[in-house]
Amino acid sequence: MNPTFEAVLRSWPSEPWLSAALLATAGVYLRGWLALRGRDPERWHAGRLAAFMAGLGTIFLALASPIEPFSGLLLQVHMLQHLLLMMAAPPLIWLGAPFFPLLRGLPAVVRRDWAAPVLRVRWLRRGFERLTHPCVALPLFAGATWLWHAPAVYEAALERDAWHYLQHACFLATALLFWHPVVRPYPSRPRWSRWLLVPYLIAADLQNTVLAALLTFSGHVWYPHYAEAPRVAGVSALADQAAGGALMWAPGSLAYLGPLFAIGLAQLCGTGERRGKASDAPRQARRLQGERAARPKRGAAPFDVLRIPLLGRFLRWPRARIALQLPMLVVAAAMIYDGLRGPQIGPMNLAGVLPWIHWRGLLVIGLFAAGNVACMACPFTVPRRLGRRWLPAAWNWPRRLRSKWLAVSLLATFFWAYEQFALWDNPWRTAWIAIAYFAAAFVVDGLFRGASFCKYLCPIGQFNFVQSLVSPLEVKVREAEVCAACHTKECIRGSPSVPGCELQLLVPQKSSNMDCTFCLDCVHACPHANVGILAVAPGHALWSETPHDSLGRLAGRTDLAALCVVLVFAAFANAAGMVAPVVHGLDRLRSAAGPHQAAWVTPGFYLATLVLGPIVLVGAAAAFSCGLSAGPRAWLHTARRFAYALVPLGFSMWLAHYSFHFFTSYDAALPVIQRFAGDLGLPFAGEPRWVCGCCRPAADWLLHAEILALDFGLLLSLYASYRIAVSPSQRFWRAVRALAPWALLIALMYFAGIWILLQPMQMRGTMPGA
Amino acid sequence: MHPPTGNKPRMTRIARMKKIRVIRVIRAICGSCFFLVALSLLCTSARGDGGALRLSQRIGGRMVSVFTSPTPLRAGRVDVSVYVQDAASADPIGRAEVFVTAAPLDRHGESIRRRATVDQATNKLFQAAEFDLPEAGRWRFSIEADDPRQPGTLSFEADLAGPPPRWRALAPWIGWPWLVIAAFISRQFLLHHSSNFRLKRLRKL
Repeated sequence: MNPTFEAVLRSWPSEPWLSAALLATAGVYLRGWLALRGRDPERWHAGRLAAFMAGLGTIFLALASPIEPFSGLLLQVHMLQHLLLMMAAPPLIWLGAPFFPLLRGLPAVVRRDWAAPVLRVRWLRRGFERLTHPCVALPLFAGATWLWHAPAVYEAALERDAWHYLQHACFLATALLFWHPVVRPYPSRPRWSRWLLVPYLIAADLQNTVLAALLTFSGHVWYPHYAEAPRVAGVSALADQAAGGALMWAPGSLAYLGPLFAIGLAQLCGTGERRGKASDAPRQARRLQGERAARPKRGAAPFDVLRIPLLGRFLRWPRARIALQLPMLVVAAAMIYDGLRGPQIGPMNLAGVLPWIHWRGLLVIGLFAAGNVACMACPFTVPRRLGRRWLPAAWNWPRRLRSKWLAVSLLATFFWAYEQFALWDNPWRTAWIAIAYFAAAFVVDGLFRGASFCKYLCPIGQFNFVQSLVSPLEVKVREAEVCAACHTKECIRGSPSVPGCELQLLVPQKSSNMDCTFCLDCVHACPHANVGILAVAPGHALWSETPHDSLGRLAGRTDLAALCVVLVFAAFANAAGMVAPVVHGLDRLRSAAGPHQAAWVTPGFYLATLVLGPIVLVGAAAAFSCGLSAGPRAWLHTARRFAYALVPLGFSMWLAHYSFHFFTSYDAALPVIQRFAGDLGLPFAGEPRWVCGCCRPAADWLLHAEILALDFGLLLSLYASYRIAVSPSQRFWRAVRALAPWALLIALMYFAGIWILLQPMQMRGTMPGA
Repeated sequence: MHPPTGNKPRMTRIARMKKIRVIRVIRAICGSCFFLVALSLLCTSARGDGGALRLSQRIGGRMVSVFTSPTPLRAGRVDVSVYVQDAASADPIGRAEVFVTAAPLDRHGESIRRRATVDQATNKLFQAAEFDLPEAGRWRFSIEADDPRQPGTLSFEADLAGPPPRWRALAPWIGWPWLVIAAFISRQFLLHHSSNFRLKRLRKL
C-alpha cells in the first residue's frame, strides 16, 4: 500500500469532547424518535433517523477523522472539511426534523422545566425566525464564507487552535441557518413561497462559484502556510490550491443546484407543500407538553439492585451480610495482629496502609456509586451476636442519649486524634482503636436492645449515614399499596427466622438513607418481597419536607444538623491538614508558641475548623438569610434547615480527598501483604516489592476527576439550598434573598476546596520517593 | 371472535418483555460507549498534531520538516513533530530513526533528548516527541534524522514564553458549573417574568 495512503488511514485524532457531544445528541434524538414513532410512524419514518444520524456522522467525519490532521498539510483536504461542515451536515440534520425528537428525547424534568419555558420565550422564537429568513441567512452564510477565506483570517485559523474552532463553529452555524429555509424542517411553517428559494440558491451558488474560480485560476498561492508546508504525495502548493478551488466549485455547485432542481420540480408538479401537515405543529407541541398530564401514569419501575441476576440473588440470600462481613473480619484481625506485632512503620504495616488508604478510599467510592455498603460489610457488628448470647441485651438505650450529640463529639474527637497522634503512621494505636471498636460494639449491643451502637455511637456509621444522603441507591418499598395492606409489618417486627430492622426504621415511612445500615434484614423479613434497593435522585432527602420515620422532620433536629455541619467542615479541615501551606503554617505556629504551648496548636486548629468556624459561618448565613428574607422562621430553624444543603459539597470533598490517596497509592498494600505473609511463614507471596509502597505522582486525570467531584457537589448543594429556600416562601424575591447568604457560603467553600486540591498534598501512609 | 376495532393489537407480554430487553441492551451499549468517552475526557491527550512549521531542510537524501505546538511555544508540554521524506520522490519515510534534543541556551541546564515516534503523532506521516520543558527562555531544538548513508543534524532556536497559569488549564473544569448556574438563574428569571409560571410552578420542580 502507498505509505501516504496508509498514514491517512491510520491518522485518527482523539476528540473525546466532540465524540461525547455527538453521542449524547444521537442518544437523545434516538430516544425521542422512538417515542414519537410509536404514535405517528408515518411522520417519524426511518429516513428521518437515518438523515439525522448521517448529519452527526458527517460532523464526526469532518472533525475527528484523518481529514482533520491532513487539513493543515493540504488545502484541498481542508476544503473538503469545510464542504462537509457547510453543505453536507446541515441539510442532513434538518432533514431529520430534529426539533421534536430532541425535545422528546430529553428527560421529562429537563423537557418540562427547562426546555419548554425557554422555547416559550417569544423574543427567542422571533429571533430564530428572523435569522432563518432568506434575506438574513444568505448574507450571513456568504459573509462567513468570504471572511474566513481571506488570507489573513485563514492563516490565523491555521496557526491558532482557538481561531480554527471558531472558524468551524461559524461555518456550521451559518450553514444551519442557510439550509433551514431550504429544507424547512417540521414543524416550521411556510412563511414565503417556495419559488423564492430559486433566486436564493442561485445567489448562493453564484458567490460560491466566484470564490472557487478565484482560487482555482489564481497564479499565486493565497495562503503562505500551504506554500511552506512539506509536499504530500508530490502535489505542489499551487496545484493543491487549484484542486481545492475545483472541489469547492463542482461539488459545491451540485449541493446548491440539486435542491434547486428538486424544489423547482416539486413546485411545477404541485407537490411542494402540505399546509395541513405543517399546521399540526401547535397541536403536536401541545400534545408533547401535556402528554404527561393526559396519559395515565405508567408504573415504570425504578432500577432495583435486587433484580440484577446474580448480585440480586446473592443479596436476597439471608446470609449475604455475614458472607460479606466474615472476610472483612479476617482482614480486621490480620490488621490488628500486624498493628500490635508488626513493624511500627505505617507504610510497612497492614494497620498503616489498609485502613488509611484503601478502606477509606473504597468507602467513599462505594457511597458515591451505590450507598452505605461499608456498613453492610461492617466487621465490628459480628461479635455483637456473641455479646447478645452472653449478655442480657435487655435494656433500652438511655432516653437522654437518644440523639446524635454523643456521635458528634466522638467524631470531632476522632478527627482531632487522627491528626494529634498521627494515626496513619502509628499501627499500634490504629490496632487498639479497632480493638476498642470491637469491644464497644460487643458491650453496647450486648447490654442494650436494638443496634444502639450503630445508631447512637459509631462515628464511622454516622459518617456513612450522612454521606449516603447523596447516594444513588436507597432501601425502599417497591409498591406502597402492598405495605398499606400489610398488617404484620415483619420489616420492623421481624419474623421467627429473620430479625426486623434493629434501627427501628419502618420501611414504608423511610424516606432517606439516614440511619440505614443496608443490613437488608427488612428485605429478608418482608413476606411480600416488596423491599428493594432502588435508584433514587441523589440528595432528594436534603430538601424533603416529609418526616423521616423515626427521625422526624430534619428541620427539627439540631443534633442531626450539627452532625452534618461537623462532617462538612471536617472534610475541608481534614484535607487542609495535609496540604503544604497549612502544614507549614501550623509548624510555624508551633515554633512560635514554644515547647509548652505547641501541643495546643492541633486541638486549636480542630476547635477552630470543626466548632468555631461552623458556628460563625453557618450562624452568619442563617442570620443574614433570616434578616434579608424577613421570613417568619427563627434563626435556629433556618440554620437547621439549610445545614443539610451543605452535605453534597462536603461529600464531594471527602470523595476528592480519599480517592486521591487511593488512586495514587492503590498498590501500596501489595508489599505489606507480601511482608505479612513472609512473617507468618507463608512464602508463596514472594519478596516484598517495596517500590510499590511509594506513592506515584498524581496523574492529570485524577486532578480533573477531583475537581469534577467538587463541581457536582457545588451544583447539588446550591440546588438543595434553592429548593429549601423556595419551599417555605410563596414569594420569589423573598426566596432569592433567603438563598443568597447560603449560596455565598457554598461558593466560598467550593473555592476553598479548589484551593486545597491545587496544593501539594502529603502522601500519608506511603513511602517517600517515586 | 372480537370485532375488528381498527386499533393496533395490544402488544403481548412476551413481546413487551422482549422489547424492554432490547431497549435495555441498547441502553447498556450506549451507556458503555458514553462512559468510555467520558473516561477519555478526563485524560489529557499526549499526541502530537503538527502545529506551526518551524523549518524544512534537506539532510542528505532526505527532506525533513519540523512542526511545533503549541503556538506560541510555552514552557510546559511541548510537542515536536518531524516529517521525514525522501527528497527525490517526496514519499514519507515513517521508519526513520529520529531523535529530538531540547537544550536551554540562556542558562545552564541539562538538555533533554527524546526519540520521535509515529505512535506519539496523530498524523501518522509524522514522528512526534513530547517534552515537558521546565522553564521559559531561549531553547535550541536539534533534530537528528538517522540516515546510514549521510547522517545529519538540523536545529532551530525558539523563545519559550512562561507557562500558562494553572487556572487557565483548569478553567473549563472549574468554569462549567458556573455556566450551569447562569443557565439556571436565567431560567428562573424567565419563569418569574412569565405570567404562566409563578412560584407555585417552581415548587413542582
